[in-house]
Amino acid sequence: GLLSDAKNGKMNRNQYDTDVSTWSPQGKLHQVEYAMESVKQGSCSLGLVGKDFVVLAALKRSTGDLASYQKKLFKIDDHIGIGIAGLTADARSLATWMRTECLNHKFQYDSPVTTGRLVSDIADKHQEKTQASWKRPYGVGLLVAGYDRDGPHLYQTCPSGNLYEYKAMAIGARAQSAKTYLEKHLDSMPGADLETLVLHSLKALEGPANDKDVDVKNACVAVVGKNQPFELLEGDALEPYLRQLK
Amino acid sequence: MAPGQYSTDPKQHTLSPIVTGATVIGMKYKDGVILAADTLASYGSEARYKDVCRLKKVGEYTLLGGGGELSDFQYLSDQLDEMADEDWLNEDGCFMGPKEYSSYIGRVMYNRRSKFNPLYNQFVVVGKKKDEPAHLMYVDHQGTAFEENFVATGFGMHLGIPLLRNSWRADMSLDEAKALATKCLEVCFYRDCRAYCKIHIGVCNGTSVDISAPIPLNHFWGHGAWTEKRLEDDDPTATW
Repeated sequence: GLLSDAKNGKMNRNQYDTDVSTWSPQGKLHQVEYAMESVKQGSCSLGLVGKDFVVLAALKRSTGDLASYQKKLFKIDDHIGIGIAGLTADARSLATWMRTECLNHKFQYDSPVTTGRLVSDIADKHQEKTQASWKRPYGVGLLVAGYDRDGPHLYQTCPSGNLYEYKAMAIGARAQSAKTYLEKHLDSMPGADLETLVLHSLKALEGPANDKDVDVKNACVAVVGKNQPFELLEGDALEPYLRQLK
Repeated sequence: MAPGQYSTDPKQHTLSPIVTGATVIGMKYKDGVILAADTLASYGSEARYKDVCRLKKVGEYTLLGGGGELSDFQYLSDQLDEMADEDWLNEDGCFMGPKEYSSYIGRVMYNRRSKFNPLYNQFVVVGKKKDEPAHLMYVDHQGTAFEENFVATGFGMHLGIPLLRNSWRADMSLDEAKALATKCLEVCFYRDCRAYCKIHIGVCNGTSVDISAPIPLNHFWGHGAWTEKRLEDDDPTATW
């Protein structure tokens, strides 16, 4: 990727990458691509969709034995939650905005906001920052899990302002190994119960974890779905699932 | 005033209505909910506009019935149409229903009253969205908002509600509900000086929202007490 190229001295730092409002002759906005690199540097977050549920899972990083583990999964509303990869500060800013939108919508319309519309507005927010020279793109990717009147949904947002809906997806460091696992088990997900989906999400984290263990300290899971408001599973709550994976 | 002059009076908003609609009746029935209102817009005590429809379809599943200032009803109707268009433009299969619209209208009405610039109306917002339960909400110019099985605004509150309390049932058929609403508006026509003998009935049944053509009401004036002279001819003070 770009970072390894920069380390190898292969990267083409050029006169078109100083600000986001400058196109390169190849038709790229380099600042947006560098922002997406920031997402790739974050630890892995993944999500998968079953018939009635969406499950998010992530590997939390810690700076050392004395430190806490960085929060990766956030509740936005009873029916929506996010997993992040990249600049946590940017993620918290977006999460606060999303929470306010959800609250305002519930107050005005006595009804939970449609996940797809909320995510569409986030994508527009991202795009704004790519068309102004005095701003910078958000340096975070979100996996937005929501359960609406028309069922479960998983969306990915990107610093570029692009928006994607997925059946399963992983972002962050070594996400490809998680994606490979998810692809392999994709067909079994619609028919799987919630416990199986959670087990899949934890098993999928093993690839990105590399040689380290996936344990109660560095893993986190969240579920949302039919008759299941958004719920975080952390620490000891993960123990029964992790035991099954051994 | 001359150009450049400014008023030294404090800023004031209109607080008394000019062209007004009277009663609106709403009630749930077995398969949904109906709304009924007469076709009169009064100009004070003058029965000025006699062919006005005070019911409006909002979005896909909702009906709005308005009593009070007609221009405010029209203003809000236009705003709601814009909201419905934006809803449709999302093209995601999700549409706002009566719950969302009635909650939104309630918030608008309360906010306007809090700024001392009310929309001078009593609204009944009804609807049924597919398999969701039927919804019926009363919202007025003070921001009062509540959900009920049947409501009436204006004079209908005094004349119609007692009739509704006696006869309303949750499992009423559409014809029974229409008959009960018609009866309430008939009584209103007899006793409310601002009411009229032509009505609209709107029906929301989960799949469609329909407002009827104008329906004339029956009314009888041939009572003996009013047609026979009762006082003596040689009484100079007799008037009837």
